[in-house]
Amino acid sequence: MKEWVKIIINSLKEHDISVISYIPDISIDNITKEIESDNYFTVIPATREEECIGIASGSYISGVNAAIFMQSSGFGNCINALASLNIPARIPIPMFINLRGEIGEFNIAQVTMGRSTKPILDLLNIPHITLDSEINLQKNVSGNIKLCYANRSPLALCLTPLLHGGKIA
Amino acid sequence: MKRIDALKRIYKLLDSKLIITNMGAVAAELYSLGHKKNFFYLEHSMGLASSVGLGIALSKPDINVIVLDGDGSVLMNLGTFSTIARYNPKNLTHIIFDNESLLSVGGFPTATSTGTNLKNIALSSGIKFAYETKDIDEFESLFEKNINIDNASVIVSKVEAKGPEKFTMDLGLIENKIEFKRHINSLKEN
Repeated sequence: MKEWVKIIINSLKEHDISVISYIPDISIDNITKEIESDNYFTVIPATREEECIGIASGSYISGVNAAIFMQSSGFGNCINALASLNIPARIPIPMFINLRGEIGEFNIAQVTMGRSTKPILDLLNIPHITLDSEINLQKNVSGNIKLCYANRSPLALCLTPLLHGGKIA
Repeated sequence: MKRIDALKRIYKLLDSKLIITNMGAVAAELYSLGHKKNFFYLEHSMGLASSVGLGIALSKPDINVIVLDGDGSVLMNLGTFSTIARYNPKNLTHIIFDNESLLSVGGFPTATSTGTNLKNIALSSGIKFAYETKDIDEFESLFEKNINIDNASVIVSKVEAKGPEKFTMDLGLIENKIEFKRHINSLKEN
């Protein structure tokens, strides 16, 4: 298992995050396949990222912490859900967002949403961190997830190709 | 059938269950019958009531979860049927009050007024038990029967496009969430 994968999985467990709702994507398959094969986690693939927001929110409300994995394009699909549920009801969800439109991107149609993701997170006042190296990764991921629950706010953890190697075209 | 009358028929049966409603008329009418701490009302996030209900049902498999939804909301998130069917939580009952109208935002007709059939979409999505009824007695008996079966179920209740006189609720979203979450936690301790 790659070191960054191990660090993120350990951080999820450290914060009792046992439900993962996600939309599969080859770039983050390194981590999602490890999560799927780990009995600690209940993995719930959905049809659209908004659904992941609903499922993870329901899980949190019922006392089981949940995180989401998706691409930046999928983040675009769940802006209203975040703005109308998680932010006003203060439902914290760590969202691992694979940023497209970064180095090595080959698809023009992925660039705009990828590059718009962080400015939109800023407009929503959702805290975000960028994970592009294994240096300080454990402190960064674990500490921000702790803060996410303390502040009862969604959190975006943006993964880049510098961390995971990018999408195989 | 009026939705408020259908809600009155099942209201007394909701106590031991967790209830999630979509926004608008369903929420306001359930609230008007008397709020309880096991009710959680979405104030917007249109389409997600059933997804929130699925998240609760999978995390609390021993408690019945009832989603009270509308046709306009479900039409925004038809993928929810596929995801519910995939996990088929036996404790989830998805009730859709279909008034063929976006009533809460002005009464505009939805696609169920022009032939879309939500019961058939649910069945084709893989939901094993899906029903449609226009009759209030049949609605009540479908509800009583399906909350106790070993599968997720969908009940489409065709209702008149009539809403409550007022949509205001004296209950904040954060207050509702904290109360509802605390209620679920207390069930765990018992």
